[in-house]
Amino acid sequence: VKLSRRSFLKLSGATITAAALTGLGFEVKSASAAPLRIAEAKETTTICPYCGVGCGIVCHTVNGKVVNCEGDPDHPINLGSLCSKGSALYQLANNDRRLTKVKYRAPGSDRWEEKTWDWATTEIAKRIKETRDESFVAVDPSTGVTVNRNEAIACLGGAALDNEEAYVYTKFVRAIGTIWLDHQARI
Amino acid sequence: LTAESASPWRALFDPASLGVSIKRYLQQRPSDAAVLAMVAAVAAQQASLAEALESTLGATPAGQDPPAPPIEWMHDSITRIAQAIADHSPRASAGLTALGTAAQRFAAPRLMEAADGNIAALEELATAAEIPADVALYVLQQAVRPWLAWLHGARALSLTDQPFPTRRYCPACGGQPLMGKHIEPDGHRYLRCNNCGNEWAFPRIGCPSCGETDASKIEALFVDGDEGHRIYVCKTCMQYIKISDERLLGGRVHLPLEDIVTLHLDELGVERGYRSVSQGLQPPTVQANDMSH
Repeated sequence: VKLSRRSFLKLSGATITAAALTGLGFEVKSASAAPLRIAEAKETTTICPYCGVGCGIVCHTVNGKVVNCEGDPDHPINLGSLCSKGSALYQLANNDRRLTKVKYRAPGSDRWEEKTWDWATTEIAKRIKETRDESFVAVDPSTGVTVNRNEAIACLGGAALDNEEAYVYTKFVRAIGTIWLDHQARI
Repeated sequence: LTAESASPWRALFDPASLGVSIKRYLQQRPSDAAVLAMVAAVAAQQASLAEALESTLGATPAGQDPPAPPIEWMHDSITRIAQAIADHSPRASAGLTALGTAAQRFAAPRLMEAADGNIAALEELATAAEIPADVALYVLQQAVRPWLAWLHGARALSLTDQPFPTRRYCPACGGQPLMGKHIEPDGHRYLRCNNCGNEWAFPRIGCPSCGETDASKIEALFVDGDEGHRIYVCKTCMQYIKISDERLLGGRVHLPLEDIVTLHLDELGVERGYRSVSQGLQPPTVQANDMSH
């Protein structure tokens, strides 16, 4: 029963139990004796994208694929709870009905066409520019005051935008003269 | 023993909650019946020893210097725990049942030193009883647990509901975590002290050893099909903690029992180069120096 420093360290902590049980004749389940399939998961915190409350979520991923979402128990807003919509957040990532490509339905058309992201962003920019140029008011005709405003485009911010995203969004829409800027949480 | 009939610290040894866990595991893993019976027998002795402590010494002390355990109680505890283990072990040596007698040649402080891992004291006792040192250490640790729970119980109770979300060490006695659990219904994480058995809240995303809070450095490993038992490994300090998730395991868990039914996860962690947090904590990382308590 002589113990060296090395053998004691081997015995310390969690391994005491395993060593003692083996010494007493118990069969200790081994991870290597019967090869077990080991899964490796990551737990990452995020914010629920659905409404302006901003509940904390813990996302579990295995090999980069979302396998579970749950409320973050340490988040000061929700303390681990989620509403029914937030609880179903897993389906946002894993859903065969989720759109993964750009779909476009032309004015008057009865069908959707598949488009590329390049096409979509270029088209959106082109139409914003056209609308803005057509409706831009540099001087209010009734008062003669310089206003530089675009009266034909309204913009709506998302409830889940954080401070920085909301700031950039506001800067962008004000830069094109938009005055109708509102927030989804007010709907 | 129920929470109503006993001091709250004695709930740590509540055979009722342990019984629920054992029943569940007997159904799921009948091959573990022998070790489960041994754990139940040890827990029953600990509950009775805890009761004896309270009737002899009164309520758990608050804010005093720790007195030594009564030597008669200590010898009785070692004898009863050793006997309970011997009665339920497939290959217990004769020396195990004689451990109580061998311990009578030692003073209480020396026995406490051996239980605390003092190599010389442990060797002395193991040699006297002619049993392996690891078995002697296991018996001693089980035997002193009711004493440590009694000693630190008042402080642990006074800390209940206080916000200590970043404590890496036990806020009651300064011990290291044995393992942790995620409780129903919302998955809050609690760690259990390897020393006095107190349980305290700790953040879900965070390493209890070095305090790392970067989620990309922490990974959960589990056996496919048994997601309720996981080990969280930290790539910053190369340590791990085992977790039992009550939400996936179907109710309250008894962590000393969980520690035994998840020994394969310890093996898995060690195989991958990690050490258990119960073997000592690392200094806090720079990023998480708010966890430096």
